[in-house]
Amino acid sequence: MTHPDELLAGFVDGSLSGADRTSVDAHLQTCARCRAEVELAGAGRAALRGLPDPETPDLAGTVRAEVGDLVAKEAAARAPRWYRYGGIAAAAVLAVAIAVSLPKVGTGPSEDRQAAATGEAAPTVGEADTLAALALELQQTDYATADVQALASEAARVAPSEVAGTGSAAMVPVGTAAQTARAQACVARAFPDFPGTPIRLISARFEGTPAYLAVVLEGPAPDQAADTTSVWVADHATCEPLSFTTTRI
Amino acid sequence: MTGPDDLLLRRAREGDHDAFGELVERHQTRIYAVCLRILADPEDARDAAQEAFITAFRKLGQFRGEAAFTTWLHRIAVNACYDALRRAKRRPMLHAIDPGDDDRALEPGPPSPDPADEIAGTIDVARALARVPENFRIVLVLADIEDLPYDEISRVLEVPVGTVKSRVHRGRIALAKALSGELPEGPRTSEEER
Repeated sequence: MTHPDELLAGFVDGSLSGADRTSVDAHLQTCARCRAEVELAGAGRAALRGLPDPETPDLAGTVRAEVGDLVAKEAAARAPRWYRYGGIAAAAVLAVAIAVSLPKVGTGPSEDRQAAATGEAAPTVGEADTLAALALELQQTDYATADVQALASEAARVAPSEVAGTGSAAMVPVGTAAQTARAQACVARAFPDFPGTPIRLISARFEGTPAYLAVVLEGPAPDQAADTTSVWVADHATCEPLSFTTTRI
Repeated sequence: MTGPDDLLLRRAREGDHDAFGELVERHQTRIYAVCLRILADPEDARDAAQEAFITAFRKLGQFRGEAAFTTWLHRIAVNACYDALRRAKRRPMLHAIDPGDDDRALEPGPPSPDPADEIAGTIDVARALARVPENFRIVLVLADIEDLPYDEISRVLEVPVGTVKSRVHRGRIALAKALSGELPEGPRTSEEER
């Protein structure tokens, strides 16, 4: 005999349709096993339905507090996460840059390789390419040392994601791709091997001299939260370092 | 019932913590009851229910409304209970008899029953339910305590409706047997444990 096992649950709780109910009724007339099961299942269901709603502790209060903490923590974590992504992106770009430059090896003019070897054309490629993602802000400002310090402090105050996201780029004219490329190469040449993730690139003047300024985030290690902002100032014409300032976040 | 939930959900997604707090207030009785009946321990149940709501808050952006909010919330709560059950198994035999002990051993079972069960005289039912294997117990809680239809239970647990129906039936029988003393006494563990 086949037993209508899938129908018995609905038979017991009354959710079965009319036709199915009739067929189960007919089966039960002849099947002692299913009759016994239905009786037990009915007792089990009745016991469960007799259970009262428990006394509920106040979860809402605790959850509200924890959710508040969570939101605060995530806001605090946003900076380091962005910073980490910056590092990963730079590494990825570096890999691409290597791949792209490979065909030149051995075929290109020798000065390419020489330049690469001396670090003139592409020092700290990763940083330079992170710079490439930024718009070069064209400013008329003539920065003094105090102003450069203010720039670093401002970056330290504002969440890095906001600086990167809105920057001043929306308000001030931005340079062409070529101008941006020159600026990034110049800054990278002035400050080779300096760690950090640039978040702004500015073309302005420093104490009267045309200059590039890069606002940079630094952490104790590449995979750790930024704890320092720096501003690198490079001479527009010679790409010599003009000034350097650093501020703890 | 989904009308006010929808509004609160929209506000919560827009970053209104208070709206999420209201959602918790609306659903905490149901979600806590599910956790208590599955875990049979008020403290574990409170932790699991809390964890479920916090998980729900974290995943709010993933809730697209293709399922009812209650279905989605029940799924999160059941998963929190599964986690709690796994943790309980790793704990030293907290509620179980030490097999080396003599018959003066401590009574097994939940350390403190829910006060409502004490008043209603349903402590035995709660304890019997705790002895039903967990996969059956969870389906029973959703069907006979939460009154969810089988197709919704199927969505909550992501198992076929036929499986739900068969587990409900087998679970009810197991509970009746546990109530009449036919299921062996023991810690509230699942059939997978041993």
